[in-house]
Amino acid sequence: MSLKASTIFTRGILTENPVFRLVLGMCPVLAVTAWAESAFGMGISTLAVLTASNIVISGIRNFIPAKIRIPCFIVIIATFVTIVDMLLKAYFEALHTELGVFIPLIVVNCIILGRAEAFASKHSVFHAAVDGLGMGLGFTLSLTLLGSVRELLGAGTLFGLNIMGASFEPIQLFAQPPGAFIALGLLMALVNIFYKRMGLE
Amino acid sequence: MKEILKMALTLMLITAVSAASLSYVHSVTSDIIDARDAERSRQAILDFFPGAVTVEEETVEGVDFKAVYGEGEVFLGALAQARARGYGAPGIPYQLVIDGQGEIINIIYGPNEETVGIGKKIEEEPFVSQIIGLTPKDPIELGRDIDVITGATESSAGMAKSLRDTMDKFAATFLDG
Repeated sequence: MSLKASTIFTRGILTENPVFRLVLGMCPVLAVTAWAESAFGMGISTLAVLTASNIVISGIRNFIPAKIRIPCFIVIIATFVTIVDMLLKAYFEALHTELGVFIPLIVVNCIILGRAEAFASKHSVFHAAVDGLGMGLGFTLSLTLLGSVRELLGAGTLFGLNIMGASFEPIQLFAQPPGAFIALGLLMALVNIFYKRMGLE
Repeated sequence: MKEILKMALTLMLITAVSAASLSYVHSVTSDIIDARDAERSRQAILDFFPGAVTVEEETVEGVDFKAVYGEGEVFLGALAQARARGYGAPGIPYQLVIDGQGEIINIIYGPNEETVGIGKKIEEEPFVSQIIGLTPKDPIELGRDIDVITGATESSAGMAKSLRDTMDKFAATFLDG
């Protein structure tokens, strides 16, 4: 299959954006986006796991018997998630505390297993790495966008910096779980309009 | 048969590599995490005992003491880690900060499963403030100097009994009886 690396890369960010187009991995999307910083941290953690597991799975794809490929993928993904968990705990303790149980839950993020099964296990290591980076970046950007909107409206800050000024009355709903659904729905509608206008459908 | 063997070996190989990489990362990160935890507990001791120079750990029948000494081996006080029987299965872990004269200067509760709004009141006022200031010479008894929390007899009784026990062990170990 002759796929251009640039196509694979931009696909994850635009046409097949995991959050706004494929609507995958909704659990972290809704749960850790109250603040832009934690949303960004979650995105980068997922990007690291996705890229690493894509590379390894693609590298050993010819050795894994088809019948046990899913358990093999899960072990590989879980290993990288645990590594990320330990590294975050050692070097980024505040973020680790903030993300809490959602770090180990990256294991069951369907984007990661989905890319392993649908892409990495069928393509070369280089293409799998590009796919992981593209999808991971798409996920990170979407999470950060949602986190920024929620933080701006829910607290009047962005990455902890006061943006809206003292007169701004925060809409606390956006910092709470229902606000995640509302903000995601509104953003998805806007993104859909954008895609229609740009002819990216 | 050959196929099953191949599958088993593949999976074994993958898990072995995974275990090896995890143990390597763990060996790197655990030192950093342990060092930070140690520094944090040292800082906590300094918050209560600014003159602390050395800390000695001692366990007396289930109560973990951290005895704090200042300049010239002067006994400044101790942190006592103990667990009271509560209403919830894991009990009520808590840490007392006791000064050199045997007076309780703080109590810090650990995670417990006491009922919110009932047993959890052991962590709130006025229950906490009747604990602060107690010494081994006080009765530390339910109904005398510790009031029972309405509806939470087990949590209050468990705390009173455990506090009495911890203070007895503190007095016997650090205050010459």
